[in-house]
Amino acid sequence: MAATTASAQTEDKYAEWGPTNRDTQSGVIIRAGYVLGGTTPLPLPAQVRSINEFKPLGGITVGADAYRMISRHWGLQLGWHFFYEGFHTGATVKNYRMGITKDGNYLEGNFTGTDITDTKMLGSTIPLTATYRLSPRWNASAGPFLSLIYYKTFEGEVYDGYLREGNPTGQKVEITRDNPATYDFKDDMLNWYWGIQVLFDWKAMRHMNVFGGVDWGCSGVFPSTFKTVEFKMFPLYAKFGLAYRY
Amino acid sequence: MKMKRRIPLYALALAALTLNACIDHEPANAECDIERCWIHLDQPEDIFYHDYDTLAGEPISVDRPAEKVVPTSLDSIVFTTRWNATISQPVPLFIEVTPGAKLFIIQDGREVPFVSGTPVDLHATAVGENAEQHFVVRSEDEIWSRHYRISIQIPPMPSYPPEGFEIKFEGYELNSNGQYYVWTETNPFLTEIQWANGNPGFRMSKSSAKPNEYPTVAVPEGGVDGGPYLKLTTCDTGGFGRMVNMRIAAGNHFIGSFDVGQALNGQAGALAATRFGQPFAHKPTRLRGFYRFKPGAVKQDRQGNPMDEADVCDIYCVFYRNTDAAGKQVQLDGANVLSSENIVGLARINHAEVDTSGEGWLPFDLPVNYNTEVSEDDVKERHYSMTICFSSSVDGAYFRGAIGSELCVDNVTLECEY
Repeated sequence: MAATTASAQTEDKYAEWGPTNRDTQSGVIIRAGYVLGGTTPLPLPAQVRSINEFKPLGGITVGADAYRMISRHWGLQLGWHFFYEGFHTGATVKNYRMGITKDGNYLEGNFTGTDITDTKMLGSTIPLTATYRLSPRWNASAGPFLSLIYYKTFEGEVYDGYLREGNPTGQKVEITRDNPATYDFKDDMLNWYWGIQVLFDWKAMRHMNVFGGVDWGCSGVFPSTFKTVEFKMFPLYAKFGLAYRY
Repeated sequence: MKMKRRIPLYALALAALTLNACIDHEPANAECDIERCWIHLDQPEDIFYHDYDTLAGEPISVDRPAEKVVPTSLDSIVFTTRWNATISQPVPLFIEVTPGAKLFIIQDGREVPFVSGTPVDLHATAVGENAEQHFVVRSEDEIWSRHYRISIQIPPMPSYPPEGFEIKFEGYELNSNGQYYVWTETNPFLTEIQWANGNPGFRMSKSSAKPNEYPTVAVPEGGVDGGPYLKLTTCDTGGFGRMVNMRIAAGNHFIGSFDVGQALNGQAGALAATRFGQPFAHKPTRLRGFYRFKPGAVKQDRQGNPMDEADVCDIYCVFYRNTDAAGKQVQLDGANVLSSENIVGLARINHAEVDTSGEGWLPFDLPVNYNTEVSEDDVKERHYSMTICFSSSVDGAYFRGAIGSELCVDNVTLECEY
């Protein structure tokens, strides 16, 4: 008897914190949040010896998700989020394979020294996720997303080191801080990438969610034909913020 | 608002810490160079002109003459003795390689681990019978290796031909990759002379350039005698050049060596890359020859801004003391080749009198002016070095010049007193 009552109470809680529109079991969530992360090789290759500086650039996301529950626990969610994200990083690398193309000229080799990178992306993400209600007030959702990039930068410089031209037995070319070699790969970047979004929502108030999650890029930001950066670079961003539930 | 700005600080420190936690073990070294190499003799002055000739390679920099390193571009290490020396006994040979790398000597076709300091047969005689030893350096990561040859060379007895040292730029070929021209001196009286230029540096900025699009080019026909001549052109270095703020490369050609490892290292590096002069047992008196010069349209400064002056070429010969008061090696570079206190003799073209028509072969005749007495004994003991330099832009070392400035040179003669 007691168990049934408890179950009924939980049932009430699920209904109480359920979709805004009880007839259609659906609703809309407007989100605004902060994005923190970077575009990185995964896992970090051994050639990266230390990360000395890390600073996010930009870092906002706004968007909306429409969802519909198809059972007590399960639902589907489709969104459209705008983002502006990026980072600045300074790393010490050893024997890091790199190449630079410019006006049909090519210089490649293995660099040991300091590598500074700044990258920014402005775009939108379309996630299609399955939603699962962990508890009356907790939702988890996961699924693929496609990101379209409207504006992007990927630039940086190398210094305090040397390049072994071609391979580690090639000519050593000194590159000092006073005279860094700069690079800009924005034109080599793809205009899209896809990945997996994992998001947690906590219904803090009747119409207000707190959310946090990860957009884990599964395709590189550069095409596979781009050999300048030896490693596939994946965008990996965490986001957290507040949402309004209609 | 102020509080908000403070939050990211430790958040970021945490982020950096987290990222560093992902960092893998340091990979083994991939490089496998002979970094330093020297031979030990109890009385080096009996065999060599200078103590420092027992160290292979080049001084690390002008400021650190006592420290010599083997340039990474080198795979043949040659020690040059006095002309009348003979090496018959094995000499202790010292070799330092990249940390972690292993060094082997090749004996009977097999790689035998080599312990630095082991006496090695490097016998050498004046008739050119010399033992060349082969070495292999294998990297710590066991992926890469480099082969080196080490030998001692005895130069021919210095002698001065009555007609002077004639230089005709006829000994040219493409480098091993077929990308640009390199020169060897064909005059049998000047076999030790090494011509260098900035082509290896230009190649890094413009890998797509054809051999005849480089700043320093051999032209096979049309010289003073109808044969080959030297053509120097101030060239645009393209996108890479702009990246490192070196927009132009003047065509140059000089006696000495070019350290391409320094070439992209800013203004100071570019000046240090041109190492002028080699020990010379003759006292120069005149530099004469034939030239043709036409300046490019607009002289530009290092930032690429047009300058309100015309470009002009440069031709000079410098004779300088190659040892300082402490007995250390002195090698002039782009920063001091015309200003060093070690300079005793200088011949230089008068820029105001350079013909800029670019037509026909015109003679130049430049006396070497001495600012001090030079003793013949010191000259014979090779206490002086000599360089001859040609450049299509006088301020080329500072990346100022006009793209398209062209200097052609042929049939140069260096007259000496003895």
